[in-house]
Amino acid sequence: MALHFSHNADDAKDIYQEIFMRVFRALPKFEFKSEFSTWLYRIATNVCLSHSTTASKSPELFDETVIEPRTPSPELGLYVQDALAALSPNQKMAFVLKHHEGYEIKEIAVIMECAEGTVKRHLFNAAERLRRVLKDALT
Amino acid sequence: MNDFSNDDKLRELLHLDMFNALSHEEKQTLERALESSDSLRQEAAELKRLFERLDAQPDIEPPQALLIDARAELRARLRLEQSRTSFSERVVSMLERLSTGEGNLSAFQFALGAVLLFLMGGLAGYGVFFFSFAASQNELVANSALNDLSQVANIRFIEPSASDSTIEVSFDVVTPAAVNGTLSDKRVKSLLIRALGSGENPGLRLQALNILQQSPSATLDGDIQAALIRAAKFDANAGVRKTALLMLLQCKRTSDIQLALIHILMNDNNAGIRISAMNALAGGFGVSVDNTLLGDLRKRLESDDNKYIRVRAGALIDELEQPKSQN
Repeated sequence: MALHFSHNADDAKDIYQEIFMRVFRALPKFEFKSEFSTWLYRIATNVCLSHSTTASKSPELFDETVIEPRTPSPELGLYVQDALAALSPNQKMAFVLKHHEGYEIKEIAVIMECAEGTVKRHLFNAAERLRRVLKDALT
Repeated sequence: MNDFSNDDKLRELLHLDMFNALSHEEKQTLERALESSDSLRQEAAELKRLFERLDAQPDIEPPQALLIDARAELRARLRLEQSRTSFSERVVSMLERLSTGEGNLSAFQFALGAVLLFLMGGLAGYGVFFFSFAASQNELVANSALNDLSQVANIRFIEPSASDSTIEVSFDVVTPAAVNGTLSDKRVKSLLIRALGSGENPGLRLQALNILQQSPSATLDGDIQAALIRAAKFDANAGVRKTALLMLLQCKRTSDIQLALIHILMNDNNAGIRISAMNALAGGFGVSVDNTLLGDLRKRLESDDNKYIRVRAGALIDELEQPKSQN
């Protein structure tokens, strides 16, 4: 999840460590009122979002340390990464949770602590933006 | 108005359908709308292509080395956190019991507590004296070193404070030193520019860019813009070049920036960066470009290995020629 969100090995490592440090500190306060995985993802989401605002380097990073998946068309792979990086942190988070992690809208709303309608709006805007950015590359 | 809202709603349903996020009723509504609207069908086809491409992207797996590294660092941090808590808890608990006289303290524990209290008092006194002395010494060393920047090495940024926009930078001279100030402080500015041009590591250069990004745009003066142009054109690291380029686009559009963008478009080996430069140039600078340069640019773009750049080359050249034809 951290890699999907940041597309950068160093940032993903920072995010990973911060998530588990927060879990370690907050675990005694966890009251089992929600699913543990939901609670964990909520922390992960908060860390990712705050990481993208404080260290604003991540959304624009095209570093040598970027994890580039092997694709049949590397050029298109780069376009897709570029397009994903251009999403706002909330759009990217909703997209990662839905597309990569397979969560339902209702669950994403709990994780992101917002209304279901807001999640739908983030997903709509993410897909619309990706479509516009990648339109030329896909034709 | 109603039609417009309805269209918007249908488009939202169409996009959400790609995420398999529609209820049965919503899916039926969408299917009915698709049967009667060509434009919606066309948009659906485009979205389908997009999601097929996205699904075809191989999943990003964290490299094993990265995972091992991250886990080892995490274990170390957790051990540190744990020992910190337990030691501090033990000391606090002992001091509490000592001060309230509760519990059954042995003679040894009582003596140890008293010694601890004595030591803490001593340390506090020493700390007040030492840190005020060290701070003034540090300031003296920093000021003298900044007169000759060639002595400065190993620059490190300490967490910039968001509330009062001060930036703390530490660096080595003969001994490590630190300065504290805002971007309008010449010393801080020169250290940032030096860090941006330093070959030590790309992380440091990115950190310098991040600090500049967080500073008010009014403080990004000519010296900083020149440093950004150098970084965007020549930095060895693509991440640094891209970030510097994006920051340049936030500045007032000048012919220097336009020339830098043309240089990037002609020479950068990263297609993503070239496309960003191309898009920025297409936004228009209102400044005419030398004919010879335009000719070279046209030749370079038409032979670019990126299809998107080749396709848009003609339109961009027209765009750059336009200020001339208007005169």
